[in-house]
Amino acid sequence: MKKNLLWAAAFGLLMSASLVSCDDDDPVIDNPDNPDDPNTPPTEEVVTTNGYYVLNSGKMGSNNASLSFYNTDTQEVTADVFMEKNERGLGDTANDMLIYGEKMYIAVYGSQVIEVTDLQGNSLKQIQSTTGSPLQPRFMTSHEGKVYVSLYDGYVARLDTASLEIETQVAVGRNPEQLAVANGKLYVANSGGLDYNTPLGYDKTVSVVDLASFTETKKLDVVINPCNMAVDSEGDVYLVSMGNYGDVPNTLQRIDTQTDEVETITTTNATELASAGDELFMMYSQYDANWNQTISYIRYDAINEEVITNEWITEPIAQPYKIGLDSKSGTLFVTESDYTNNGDVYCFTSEGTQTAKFEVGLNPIRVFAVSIQ
Amino acid sequence: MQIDKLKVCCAVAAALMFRGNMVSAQEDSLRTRELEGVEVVAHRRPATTRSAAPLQVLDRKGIEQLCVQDLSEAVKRFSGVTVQDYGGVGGLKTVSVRSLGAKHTAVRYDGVTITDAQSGQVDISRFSLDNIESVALSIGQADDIFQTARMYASAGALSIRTAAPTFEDKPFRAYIKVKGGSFGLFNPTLRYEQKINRRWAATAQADWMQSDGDYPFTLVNGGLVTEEKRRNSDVKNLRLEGNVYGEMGKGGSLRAKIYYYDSERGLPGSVILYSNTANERMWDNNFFVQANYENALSEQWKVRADVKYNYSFTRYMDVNDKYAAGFQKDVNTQQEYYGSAGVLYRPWQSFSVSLNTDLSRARLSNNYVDSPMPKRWTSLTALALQYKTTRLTATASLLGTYITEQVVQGERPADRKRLSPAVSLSWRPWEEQGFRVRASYQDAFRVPTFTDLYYLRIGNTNLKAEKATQYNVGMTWSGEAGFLSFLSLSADAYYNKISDKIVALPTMYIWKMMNMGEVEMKGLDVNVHGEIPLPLDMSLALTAAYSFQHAIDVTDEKDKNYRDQIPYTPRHSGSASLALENPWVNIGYSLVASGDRYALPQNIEQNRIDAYVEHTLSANRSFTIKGKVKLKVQGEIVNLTDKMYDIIQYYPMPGRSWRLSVSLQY
Repeated sequence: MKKNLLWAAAFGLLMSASLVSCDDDDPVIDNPDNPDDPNTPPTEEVVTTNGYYVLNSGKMGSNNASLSFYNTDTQEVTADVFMEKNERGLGDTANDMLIYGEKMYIAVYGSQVIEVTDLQGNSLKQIQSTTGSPLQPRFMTSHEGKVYVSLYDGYVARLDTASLEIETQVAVGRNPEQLAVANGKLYVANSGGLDYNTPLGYDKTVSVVDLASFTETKKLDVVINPCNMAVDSEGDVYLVSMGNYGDVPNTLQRIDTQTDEVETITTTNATELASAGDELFMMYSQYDANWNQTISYIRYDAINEEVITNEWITEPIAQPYKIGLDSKSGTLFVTESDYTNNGDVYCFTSEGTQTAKFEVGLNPIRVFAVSIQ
Repeated sequence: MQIDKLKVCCAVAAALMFRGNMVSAQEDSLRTRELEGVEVVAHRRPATTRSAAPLQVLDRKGIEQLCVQDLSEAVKRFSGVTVQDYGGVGGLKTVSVRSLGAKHTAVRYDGVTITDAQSGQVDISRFSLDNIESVALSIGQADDIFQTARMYASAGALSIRTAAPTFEDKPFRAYIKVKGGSFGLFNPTLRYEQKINRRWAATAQADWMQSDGDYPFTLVNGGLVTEEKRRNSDVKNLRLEGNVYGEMGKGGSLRAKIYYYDSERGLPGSVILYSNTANERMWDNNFFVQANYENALSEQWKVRADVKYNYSFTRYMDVNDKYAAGFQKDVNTQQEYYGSAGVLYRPWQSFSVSLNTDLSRARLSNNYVDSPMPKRWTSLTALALQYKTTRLTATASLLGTYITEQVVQGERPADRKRLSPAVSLSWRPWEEQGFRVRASYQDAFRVPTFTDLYYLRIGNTNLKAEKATQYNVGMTWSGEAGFLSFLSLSADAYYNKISDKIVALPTMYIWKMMNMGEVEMKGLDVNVHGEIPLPLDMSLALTAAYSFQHAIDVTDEKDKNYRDQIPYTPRHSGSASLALENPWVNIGYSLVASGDRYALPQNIEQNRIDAYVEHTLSANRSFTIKGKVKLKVQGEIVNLTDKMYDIIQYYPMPGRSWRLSVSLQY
């Protein structure tokens, strides 16, 4: 009951706010310390509801993507805010989420849409394909009033955050996954993941897109199957190539965005990574011959390029899935999933002390700390 | 629209009934048919109650009374089974017996098992019930010990038997049937049977089926309810079959078959919210030749042999710009050579021993990079002993399996060796009563499929076989009861356990097939069948089946789905049917019902699929024209109440639909 009132109050506030500001939307000043960290929460003065949004991917074909909310004050979980607010589901297989300005962007890969909502979860627009071929959004990043979305048919779309229209798209490599902005350039990991069983095989490039002209200027050669990215405070792009799960191993690389040179990092390795600016928090899984996995949680000094610790948490988590970071509070998130049951989110301080654990939906892939007025 | 079609069907039924009174010639022929039917029933029904392991049979008469059109509709009437039905005519349909999973069910067509070493399961949607004499489902070890060793190897078996030709006044018989129905269903069948001489006969059959499959359904998305149409659900297939039958007296009997199947279908996929993309298509080709030979050499000795060559080809295609080529194309070709031989020795009237041995080689090739092109040699040998009197049947068998595989590249699994015992007992405690008790035990397993072992990235050559242990106790009764001319009852309780279940398990980025699951099942199957004679040459047949399945995941206490009911397994399910036979127009009514199920392993509200009841009404009428040509008109309304339901989540089943067929036999 109390929660509902809160929501209603928050909703009312937001309505009045949007009435005032709906024309000159968004262009938000980027956090100078960490220019393109999508985890940057909106900088608000008045705080009414604090909590974490968790995007649950769901299972392919099950139309069970959901948006959970954990209220850090009441420690209550709302299983699916999106369904509650919009009386319809998010769709099938959510793949990424971004909070930018006063809006949340959710790439729903299976349903072939991008949902844009306000911070309460009310849908503002469901962006669908305008090109005739299906929109297959994978990952997103933001920069100067635009959201960039990798599309699995080999494009990156530029979405205007005021009009919520896809303005244009640029061709990149095959099956682009994560993307990051550094030094005025957009770096896109071209995985080629869907051609793995054809003679063509995986892609092994990172596209460099000039943001001003929005054209691809070059392709950098990397280890095959590049997927995940993070940018440090110096503008270095850290890139994980997944390899072929066989003779080419998972490899961590660093792209110097001044020279666009790629260097393999041999001192450590990662599959998942999150940037705290000067440091990276990473997770790496290794397998033995029987496919039992050992997980390391690596804290990496991105300035001096060295490992700080291999266990930024010591809590045993049976099936860790994704990691996340709220750079404002320094809260670290590890989600857990067995791909079968509802997942859990574990929250830690940057020193590795567990502060919360709560159950969300199936396959939690993104966690964001928010303060909603 | 639907209502109009309903009216049409009612009108047709009424017209049939009206005309029935006018035509007098047909009564005699109808009675003959009935008599034939009863004879068949009289042979078969007691066999099901005498069987030491659960056995259910739907014979020709039952199929005709209820106008059952395809195999999945027949199987849905059995107790203890769940049919995974992806909806529509072309939708995948597989059978799981007592929650053991489809890969533990063998499907046998005229004596020889249909195999698919790649997927390990058989899509039963492709079998029409035209010209089928019987469909039988046996669970555990069957009483017939004189059959292929493969039949000993499966936990459950679905056996389809085609009708052998019978000739009355002339040495040939021709048959044509045209069936049409909702959603563009068009299905003509041609059959010709020829008696060659006293010993030999041959038949040929061609069958074409097409359906647009674009049926409407209601999509519920939270508070948003929309009317949609199934897309990319069309299907076209051609089936050709030739049979040769030889009865050589002392030389034994031979039955040979040549079969060809060609199909193209759209794969509609699950309904995806907000998306209309459905570009997946599948092409299937299957060709096989098989022969069965049996000979009773003497009172004591019988021999049998089966051979089969099977070729199957599938091409899957998905058109989407996300693939570099603009599409993904998977081509798989499988070939299998199979031979089986057996001998039965019966030194005394009540005791027999059999030895059956099978040898097969299966090979898979496909268009994937670095494909291992696996080849599997399987040797199965079954030794069985049986003691059988009118009051007691006791059977024990031991199956030995040896499997070895070869690959052109990559890892190869270790050779497999296994002994699997089974015992069963059926006892009639009172001589004068048709009451029997039965008990059985079977140890069965399934070998990992080629997909489990070799599929790109996910395959795991270290897999062990998945084991299924079955215990069953039951009782049966059959006889006359009150106003019923025939009544049979059976009730069986069982306990099954699956261990080393082969499941796909996620690691951080890759899925791997692992022996990780354990499932425990407790269940109850009840079957009732009764026949009531009525005045005016009418009769009523009632059939009902009920299943209770408590099938829970006991893999790991720490899992959130520990002791949760496994997916797609209703606690309660059942079927009932009523068939009214009369001289005018035969009426059949049936229902299939299922309780709540879960789409995913965790038993939470979001994963729950609603219960449903589907009703079907049918009517048929036979005529004889000039004493020579038999005409039969048959109509059905399927899903009478237009119930919107899913068997597999987001694969909606069709709403109300109709079918009408006309057949001529000369």
